Amino acid sequence: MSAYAIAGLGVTAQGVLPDTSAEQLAWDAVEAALADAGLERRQVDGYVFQPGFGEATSGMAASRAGLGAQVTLQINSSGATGILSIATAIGLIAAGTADYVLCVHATNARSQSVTVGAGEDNADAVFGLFSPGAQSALMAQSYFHKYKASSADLAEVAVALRDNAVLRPDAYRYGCSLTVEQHQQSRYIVRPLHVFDYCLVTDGAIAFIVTTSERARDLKPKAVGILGMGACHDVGQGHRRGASTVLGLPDFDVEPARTRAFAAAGLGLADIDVFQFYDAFTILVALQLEAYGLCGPGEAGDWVRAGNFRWDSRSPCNTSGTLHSWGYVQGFTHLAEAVRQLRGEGGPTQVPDARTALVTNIGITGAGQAHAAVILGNR
Amino acid sequence: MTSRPTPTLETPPARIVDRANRPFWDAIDAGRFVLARCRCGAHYARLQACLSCQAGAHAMRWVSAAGDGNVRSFVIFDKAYHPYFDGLLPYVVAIVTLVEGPEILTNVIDVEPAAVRIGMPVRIVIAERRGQNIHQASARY
Repeated sequence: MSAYAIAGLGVTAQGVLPDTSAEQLAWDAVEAALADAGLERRQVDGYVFQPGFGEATSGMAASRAGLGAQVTLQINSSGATGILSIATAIGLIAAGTADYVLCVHATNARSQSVTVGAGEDNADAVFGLFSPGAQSALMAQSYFHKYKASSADLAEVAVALRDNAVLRPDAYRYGCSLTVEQHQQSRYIVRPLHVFDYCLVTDGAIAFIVTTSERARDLKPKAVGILGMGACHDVGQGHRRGASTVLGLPDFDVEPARTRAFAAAGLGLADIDVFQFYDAFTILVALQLEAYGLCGPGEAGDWVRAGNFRWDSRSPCNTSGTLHSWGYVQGFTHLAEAVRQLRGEGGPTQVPDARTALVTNIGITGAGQAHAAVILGNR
Repeated sequence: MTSRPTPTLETPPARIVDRANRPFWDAIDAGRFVLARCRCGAHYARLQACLSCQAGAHAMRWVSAAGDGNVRSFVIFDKAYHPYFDGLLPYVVAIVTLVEGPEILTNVIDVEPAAVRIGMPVRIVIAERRGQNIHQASARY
């Protein structure tokens, strides 16, 4: 029995929501999470939030109104923040500063037309290297060269993500199919990556509540256990090259996070029923499938092409379509889908009898890459 | 004869210069390419703790670098995220592995972007753009 649990989940609509401020999105997600857990606002005594793109960069004051928050933290490790907010919440509880911690992320980057990563305040800008997409394109180029792989292999990942989302009414790309040919014929953003190698930028918010498993037993009976977690952050990469660029394997090293998460949970890869890999770019998914051992090095394209990854395969991954096809709430997206799967709320893409889930997050932070993994479960 | 397009009137993004890399950029401005060499033999593009022997920056001194290297990975921009680069499209950004060991980020020039390959040999040249020098990797090797 795990010591801590996710005891409430709130998910807003995802998509193009120009009439809803980031504050309102956060408020809506918090209200939904409280109702889900059966908690009163005043009972929540901890608040951890990740600032988002668009308007959602400030303190999210409205969503905190009426909470009993005794401690409020803004944390940011880019796309890795979702899982790291769980670690932060557990820390606040273990330190005796809070009993119920709300973790929140909201963004309205879509309606604010934010170009992610276009800033000049880094050492790479002088050479015209902008955006996490360009960093991922460097990884992809290296990956193609090392394994004689190609863009068509990454297209398989994009299509598999879409195939899962097509069935889900809550996904932004619900009902919108995608083919490998459409991917291959789509425009480039930063070569060698096509537009369909990139995730969505949408408006939306997610909130969840972390508490002890003991307290969770007094709430609505839907809590999901936090079985084990780990993190790694390769800050040395930038120092090796006097810039903040990251590159694929072997630089992409998830080993410290993977080892700690599985060891703490006392589980192995074969024990995981459903996977939610961070998918800001298709290349990140391919690298993780290989790094976590679902397939061998350089085999991701063939592995997905063979029918794996789909929600109804033996290795179901990213069952909502996540960042590529469901909605862009960064690392919170994958946590929300894992919680839903473990509660049997995955709707048309529910994995039968899912009892354990591996969730990963990646942050391309401008100082190497942050990675985090958590195993959630009902066992 | 150079393949470099005419620069635009926009100012390029500023170089990020601090105490640890000022000698590097001062050398670039003087037309020279230098690296910081640790007493253990490792090279870096800035003063820092050595990742090989863990010595502090005090163990390093600036030395002339050969300027020879190979493309480790690269990307091609067809769209400008900053107006300065509008006139340079399409342009190549690459990680280059220098013969001294370190990797640096730079642009690959003097070649059609579609002809750039991983492993391609390149040589560092100093280019001027709007009153400011910058190191580039020339494929005319």
